[in-house]
Amino acid sequence: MSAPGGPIADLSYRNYDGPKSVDGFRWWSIAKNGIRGAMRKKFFWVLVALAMLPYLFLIIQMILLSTITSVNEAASENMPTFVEMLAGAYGNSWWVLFVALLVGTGSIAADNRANALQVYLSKPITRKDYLIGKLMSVFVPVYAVTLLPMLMATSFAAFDQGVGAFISEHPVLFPSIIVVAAIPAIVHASLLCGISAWNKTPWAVGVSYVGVVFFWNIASTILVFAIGQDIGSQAATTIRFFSIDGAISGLGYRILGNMPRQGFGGDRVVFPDPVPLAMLLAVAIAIGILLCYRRIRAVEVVTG
Amino acid sequence: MSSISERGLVNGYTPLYSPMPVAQVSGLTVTYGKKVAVQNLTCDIPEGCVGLLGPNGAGKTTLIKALLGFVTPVTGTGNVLGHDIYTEPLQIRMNVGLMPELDCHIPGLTAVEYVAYAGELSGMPRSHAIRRSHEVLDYCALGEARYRNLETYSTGMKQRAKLAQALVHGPKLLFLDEPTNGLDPEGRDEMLDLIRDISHDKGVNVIVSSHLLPDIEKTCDYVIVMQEGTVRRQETVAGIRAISATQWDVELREPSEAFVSAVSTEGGSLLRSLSNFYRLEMSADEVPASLRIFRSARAAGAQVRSLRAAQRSLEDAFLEAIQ
Repeated sequence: MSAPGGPIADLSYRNYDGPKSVDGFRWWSIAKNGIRGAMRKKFFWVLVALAMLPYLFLIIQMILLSTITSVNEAASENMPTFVEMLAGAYGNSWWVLFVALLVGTGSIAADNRANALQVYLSKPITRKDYLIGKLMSVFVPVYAVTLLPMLMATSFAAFDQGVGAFISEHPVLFPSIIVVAAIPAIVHASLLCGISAWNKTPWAVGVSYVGVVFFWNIASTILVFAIGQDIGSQAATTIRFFSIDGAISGLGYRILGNMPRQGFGGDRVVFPDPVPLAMLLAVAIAIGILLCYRRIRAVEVVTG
Repeated sequence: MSSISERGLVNGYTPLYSPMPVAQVSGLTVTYGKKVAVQNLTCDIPEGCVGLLGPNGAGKTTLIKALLGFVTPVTGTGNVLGHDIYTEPLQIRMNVGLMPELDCHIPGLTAVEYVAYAGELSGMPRSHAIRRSHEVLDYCALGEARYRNLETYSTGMKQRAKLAQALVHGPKLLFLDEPTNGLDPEGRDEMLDLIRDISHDKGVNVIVSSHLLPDIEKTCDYVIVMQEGTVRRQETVAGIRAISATQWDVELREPSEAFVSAVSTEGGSLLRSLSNFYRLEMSADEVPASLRIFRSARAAGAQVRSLRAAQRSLEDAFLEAIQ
């Protein structure tokens, strides 16, 4: 409404006649908002820095090892290979879990608390768009935090050794890293979103998820001690890795083709069987997505 | 749909109704488990500002949810702005705005981010959404607080932010579910003024769902009275308030006994009077009642200041409709 003496045109509200589209990747707007929200938190960057530490140590370790082997070539036989060290850093990246917790616990729980679903679903987006958007808002940061340091360390090794020689020695390492880094990201994203969808407080989601991960880890460790090596070394190793966190590491080792050794000159460990681990993770991902999808509604649905 | 009263003038202007409704439902039934929330509901919602009036649990919110595709009706058909509610929910939601009843927002965002994000979700390019967000927040009187986090807003400010997110993409139809919930009297008046401005001066069709009669009376031209999931009555606000076709309210410049006598010769009778205000019952006649009243005034030498069909309060009309 223009005031007397003000502009003739009504500047207060005009109808919007610009472009609008319901086609394309509608979920990307939701994912972008989640990623922006995560990047705005200072603690996120602290965790990113901490998640990079194992790979920085790896680079330092490589520099030290190359110095040792240049002095004493005989010592190189007992030295861990680069891929073993990379697998070790991957398996010890606990900080990735904390990044996932930071970005994933509130992804849907905070929306539940603020009744945001009514806002989302009153727009031209579907439940599927919302679900994919929320999954991607957790997946992308976790994937980036896992992938980028691995690529950084591997690129350093490639340049150190000579790119041609490195690639001929490890022809599938780069594609393997791209796949391996996606495993923790998709597992954490789906499970955290699934638990988050049924909660209203992010801390409750975090406590539940950490509880599940740690309890399962402890349970599998106790089980392997209980039945010991009687069932064969690969079966025992598979049981030891039969937890969410363990399966992520075990499957990653299998794809990378190497496992970390226990210290310098330690024995090479037997690989776990990848099939049960892959099935465990597939079931976990499916449960997470299903939990999430069942809960995403603009209205409370009363049955019975 | 009931016919529009030819006599009705609301607040000094004539509401314009196009024969084309903005939403139509036919035989719509919505259930939540065994509870029937909307039962075999058929109605056309005309352009302009329409009130969905009814007590709590009447099915107003459920009707809105069905129109937006939030709930799937058991039976019936419907369309909003020409789009089918079953097959084109995304097209509907791209062209309508919803201000939900519940306190709701997207956490962690400032008002300008929230409204721009709502625009993006509605399919607008980000640059357009941001520019539009500033415009709409200015319009909703949140311009000064636009960079504050929504969680720090008062209830009144949150209601305005909800309205802004519903308006950002330039909807052709706006659903406002209990828009004055939790507002103090001043905030309520401001919100009702905004709604009235949007619907009457900005050309946006508005459907206001409320159980508060004064809210509907202040903002709407047409009302749909609902109870127990069915439509009890639908008509213009003027029409629903009209007592009967034969009663008229007359205001003279000053009291006049001669006017009352003259009216009786024209086939009318005085029902009651207060100072210079008269309520008359006019008998049916070939000559229109209004003409006979003016003729009586001229004969009595009285000056008519206003003449209109006798009206009752919306509350009385509502109570009659739901009984």
